[in-house]
Amino acid sequence: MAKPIPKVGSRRSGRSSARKSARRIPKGVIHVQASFNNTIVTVTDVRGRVISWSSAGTCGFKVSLRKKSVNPFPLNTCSGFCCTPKEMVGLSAGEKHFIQGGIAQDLRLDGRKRLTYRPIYVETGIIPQAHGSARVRLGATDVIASVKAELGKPSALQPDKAKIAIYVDCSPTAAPMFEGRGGEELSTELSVALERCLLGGKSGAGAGIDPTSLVVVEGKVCWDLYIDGLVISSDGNLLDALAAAIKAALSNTGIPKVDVAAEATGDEQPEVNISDEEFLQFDTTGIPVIVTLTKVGKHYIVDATSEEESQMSSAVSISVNRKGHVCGLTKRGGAGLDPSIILDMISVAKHVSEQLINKLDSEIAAAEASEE
Amino acid sequence: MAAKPGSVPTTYSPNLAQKTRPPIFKDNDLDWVRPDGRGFHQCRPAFFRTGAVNSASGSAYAELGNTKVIVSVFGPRESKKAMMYSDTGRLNCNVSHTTFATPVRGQGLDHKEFSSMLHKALEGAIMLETFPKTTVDVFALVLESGGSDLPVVISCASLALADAGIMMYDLVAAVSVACLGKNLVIDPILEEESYQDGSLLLACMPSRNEVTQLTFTGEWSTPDINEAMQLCLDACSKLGKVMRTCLKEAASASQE
Repeated sequence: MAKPIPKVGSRRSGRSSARKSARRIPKGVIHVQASFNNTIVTVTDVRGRVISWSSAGTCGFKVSLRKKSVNPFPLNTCSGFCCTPKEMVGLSAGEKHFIQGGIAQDLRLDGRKRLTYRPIYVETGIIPQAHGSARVRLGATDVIASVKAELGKPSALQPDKAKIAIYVDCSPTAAPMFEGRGGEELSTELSVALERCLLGGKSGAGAGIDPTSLVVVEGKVCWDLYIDGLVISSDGNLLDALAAAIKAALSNTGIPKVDVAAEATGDEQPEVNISDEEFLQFDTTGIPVIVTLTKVGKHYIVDATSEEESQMSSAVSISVNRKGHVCGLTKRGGAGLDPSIILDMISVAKHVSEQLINKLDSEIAAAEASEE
Repeated sequence: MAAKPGSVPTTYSPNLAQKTRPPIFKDNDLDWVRPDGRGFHQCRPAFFRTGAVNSASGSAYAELGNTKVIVSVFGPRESKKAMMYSDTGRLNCNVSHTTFATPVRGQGLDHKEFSSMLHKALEGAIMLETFPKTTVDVFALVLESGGSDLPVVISCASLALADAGIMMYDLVAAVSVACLGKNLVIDPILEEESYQDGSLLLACMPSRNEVTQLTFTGEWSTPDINEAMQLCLDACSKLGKVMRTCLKEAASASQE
């Protein structure tokens, strides 16, 4: 900490420097009290005994500045309007340099290579009330997906298709900024990106989930599918984790078999019997996975942690199915990209997705087996 | 409103198709025509005009076929007190539809994602560091939704920002392509959008050749992606020229 102009009668006249040489303090606490008028930084040892302190006033900030309630110490220059919570991670210049340098040398903070995922853990059937559910952990990122089916009526415009909706909720337990409306923007962004990647085009082509398979009686009765994602803990790469959780939850989903009891005529709704014993399983082989490539410096990495995401210039989330077709793409992050780089990213994502799909499938199979 | 004759290039259709791959029209879909009689790779005539709203720092009006959009830009003004300190400027985007924008009243109101998409498309083009601690508001209103709303909103918003004198690296032009069966159809209208198999939206800065926003839906193979992106990039560069002409006209008119 920079030593301010020495003052007569100040508490830090000579004494502190004598103490500094006398004992070494391996651990300390920095207390920061920031108000609209002043900022006071106090360094103490772990028990709270003051070692040194400084305030904005002693550093030479004048009244005019303080009056405008400008925080004289931009402790954590968070780049405001954040599309991802990770931009809130406060890193020093040295740490930033370390992360960027590591990525350039293909060796990341946790020892991974640029295109290596963190170990992925899948648990299925964790929510008994839902028709299907799964929890996916990817390092410290922890998400839950649940699938609920309700009998409904297909819309008049598309009588042969059921409604599938994806909602994502960012819980304040994951990060304090998700409290109230703070998580809304991220939730919307994730929901839209997931819908784009999993549900295909307007006509339903390229959808991972076939909406026609959920129709019981065309134009009358269908199963409406509500897929809810919940972010419990966030350490980067939420979209990939949520897509994996949804895939796992859908393969865990059993939709009750429905028998049409009496065929209704005209506009009447037909009567249906919902079976308690027989369940229909989804074919989840066509559901794509999402691979997010985060561009840091000149290189791109998969499965970025929140520290790494704070250094990104832009990120591209690409959903790829088993056939190697791109089912959706979303660009996040502000900086522009050269078209040729995007095409290169798509081919890299296709390559990475093969391994991810195989890994995920074996994890899902293992989770299903352990559940039974 | 209609364009002044001879002043603005009326269309910005990409010409790439004729150069590289001649047989786009396969035998079985030769009889298929677009509802408004355009060719598959022909865009709607674009009309732009700046200064649509007096009280705004900058504003623009765009009309492509039936899609009519008005965008006003306010600011830069001081960020709200509750916002944290930021040494770069903030961009606040909001896209709304009028209740009569769509055939069914109030149908197009739930486009929450449009705002965040607009934000991301523009963010990369604006020099945010030129106005620290302040916020620029971009409010877009879709007066009439006639298909390809978001690309029109993005293009129009970048023009409004330029009109407001916000420093930008380049104008952002956006174009979308719909995939109908095997065909790629540029600048789809509402009817085509409702039964498309997939769509691709690309926003780019034409003179820097940088993509600021890109989204796909539906299933795409690599050659299709290549072709669609080339189509969009070419169309964007032409749309950029149309937008630039509009700005030049406005500047020369104000000097006189």
